[in-house]
Amino acid sequence: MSVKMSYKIIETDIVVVGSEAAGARAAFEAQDQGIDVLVITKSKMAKSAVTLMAVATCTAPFNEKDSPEILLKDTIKGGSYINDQKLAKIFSEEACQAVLDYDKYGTNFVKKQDKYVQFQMPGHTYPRGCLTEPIGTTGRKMVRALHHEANKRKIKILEDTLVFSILINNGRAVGVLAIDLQKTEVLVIKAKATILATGGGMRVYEKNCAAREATGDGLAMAYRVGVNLRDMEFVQFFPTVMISPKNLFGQQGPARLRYELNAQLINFYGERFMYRYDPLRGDKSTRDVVARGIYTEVKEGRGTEYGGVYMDVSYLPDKVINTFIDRHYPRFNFGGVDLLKEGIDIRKEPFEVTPAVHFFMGGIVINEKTTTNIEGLYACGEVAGGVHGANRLGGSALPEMGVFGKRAGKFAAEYVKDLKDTIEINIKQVNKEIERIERLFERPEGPNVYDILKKLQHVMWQGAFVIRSAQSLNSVLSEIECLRQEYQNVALKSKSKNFNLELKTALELELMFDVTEMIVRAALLRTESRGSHYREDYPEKNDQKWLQNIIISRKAEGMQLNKQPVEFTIFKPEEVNDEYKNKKRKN
Amino acid sequence: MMNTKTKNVKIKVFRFDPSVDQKPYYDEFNVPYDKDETILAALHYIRENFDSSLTYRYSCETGCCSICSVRINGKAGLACKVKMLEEDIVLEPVKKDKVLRDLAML
Ligand SMILES: Cc1cc2nc3c(=O)[nH]c(=O)nc-3n(C[C@H](O)[C@H](O)[C@H](O)COP(=O)(O)OP(=O)(O)OC[C@H]3O[C@@H](n4cnc5c(N)ncnc54)[C@H](O)[C@@H]3O)c2cc1C
Ligand code: FES
Repeated sequence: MSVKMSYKIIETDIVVVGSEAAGARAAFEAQDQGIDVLVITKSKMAKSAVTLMAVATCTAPFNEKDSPEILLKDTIKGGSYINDQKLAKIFSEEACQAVLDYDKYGTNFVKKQDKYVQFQMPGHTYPRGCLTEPIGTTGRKMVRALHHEANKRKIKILEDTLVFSILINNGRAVGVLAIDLQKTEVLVIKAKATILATGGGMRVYEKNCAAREATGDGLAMAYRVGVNLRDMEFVQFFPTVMISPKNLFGQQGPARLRYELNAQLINFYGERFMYRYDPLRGDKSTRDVVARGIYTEVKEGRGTEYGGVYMDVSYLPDKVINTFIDRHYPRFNFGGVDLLKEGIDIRKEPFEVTPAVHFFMGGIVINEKTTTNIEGLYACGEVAGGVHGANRLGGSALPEMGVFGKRAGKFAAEYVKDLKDTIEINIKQVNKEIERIERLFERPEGPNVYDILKKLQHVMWQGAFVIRSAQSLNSVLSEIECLRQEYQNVALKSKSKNFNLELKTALELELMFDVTEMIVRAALLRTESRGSHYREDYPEKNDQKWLQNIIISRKAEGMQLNKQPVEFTIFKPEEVNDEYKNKKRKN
Repeated sequence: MMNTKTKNVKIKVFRFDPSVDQKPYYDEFNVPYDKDETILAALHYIRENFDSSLTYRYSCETGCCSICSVRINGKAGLACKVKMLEEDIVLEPVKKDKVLRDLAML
């Protein structure tokens, strides 16, 4: 059977790929500049993706004692000194405005006497985390507000539309190629400027706490057209999310019991294993050490039924637990997770936890105007890298989306206004890309796409997660290559053109191979441990050699990785470091 | 990951692809029962092991987005929150007149 697919051309000034925090904010700003904008999401706005999952806070230095400069220093220290300082400075200076903007759209952050109520998160010198009520709803309230604002503004949104390629002509981005999944109709979106706001790629890992959309499409699409990416080796994980019962997978609230109520971590054999990894602090060790401890226990066969370990407070007298719960989590409700109602009584039994992937620090290289190295192409939000360096502080993603989303909208609009010449689509590229889809429909039988996806997620989890080594990474690399080969023969069971989600997954999976390869190659090259990246064969941080970023680009001969020394345009590591040492001494 | 337990549960799933089917029908699958697993996990299991064309929506898998709403034995609920039942299960779209394909609605 030969399928010849036609396509429809849609023209717009700016196309924004991604409809959540970063994408929506970009679209509003572009519209405010009087520019025609089209937003695309591969699912449904405000009913999918990662922004709505944000359970905690949104950082901004509103406190009287606080300042953007202190937030900048905290961010650079948290990022182990390899942040893009110019971007981190903008983030710190504009975070308050981002919160005010989100609030203006109707997020409704909690206030007391006209001041935002702010929580202190680890790594932040002052309480900076704005949040909504009930606790745990920050992301949900935010996406609802953004959706409402988008409707009010009559922003054009294409839902269930997967972008699978960036269109390039004469070295310039001229729009994107998308597929309307409800009809399997190819859309050539011709745009004077393209903004990528596609989020992170946490779903390339087996255990992640992100939404289905987080497959890193934007990272790979950008890579494929020659965009530079940075810091791809830095993948943030949460040390302890719930793993069982399955309807609570990914919940982080109850895991606070580890430091708030001396919860013990116990393996399948009942051992308090953390003392093997940190003889002094044991269960109270730092996030990284706890994650590595749990991961090692599971890998060496001492894990629980669902591949985690137990977190237990039941050794404490009921009276102690009840008093603590009444004070902090009335009725055993941990920010929306109602443990008793779910059938877990922590006074009597433990629950299972695991580390899981949470955030991508790395991403597309952008400048202060969110411009990439390709003319006409902008990136903002989690898909862009640099602000957070080697690790991100809690609550610092949401303001980043607002700050750089707004900038992307503004600068892309300015670019469009100044553009003198018209843009043309390269039909050859369009036809070549469409052939990829046709091949998927033509192949009568072959491997199942979900099967290959699962294998890819598993090998990434096994060899490129919280503990890495040259050996594990090389083995992941060769597995990725095998799976890529297997993918060449993948077939769709259903050839229906009606909402074919197998097709969607197949197109995403093809991009995920590039995302995983970038992570693994960068992790291999960085022969030290820093931030979220831990090499068991190079367990120490090496400032002599590695105050550098790894920049990835695509060249004719394949994936290129180049080291680039960090530019300390604002602070030198010593300056930041000394200040924290002094602070400690004073305390 | 679904744990292999001996007991199976029969799951009847509403199927309808308006572009090819004259009218809706039901498919039956035997899925290993696990008291800790969710309806969504059962759907994933079917998709991975029996029929990769089974179409349903999901996103956060933690009860935040509500895109996974389905009718479970007649009652609407979130597939990612409702646990598997030990009895026969019938899964249908929440609104049959809004079906895009199988359990996925417009
Ligand atoms: C469980 C969890 C809790 C968190 N809690 C917090 C918190 O408390 N505070 C905080 O600051 N941060 C938190 N974060 C991080 C933060 O939520 C995210 O970094 C942020 O929301 C990302 O926003 P975004 O707009 O860049 O991407 P997303 O919200 O992921 O949106 C991506 C958009 O791009 C679209 N898209 C992707 N690929 C394509 C494609 N190929 N074609 C078409 N559309 C596409 C998606 O459909 C979606 O519309 C949390 C993250 C997780 C996982
Ligand atoms: S997948 Fe989001 S609520 Fe079920």
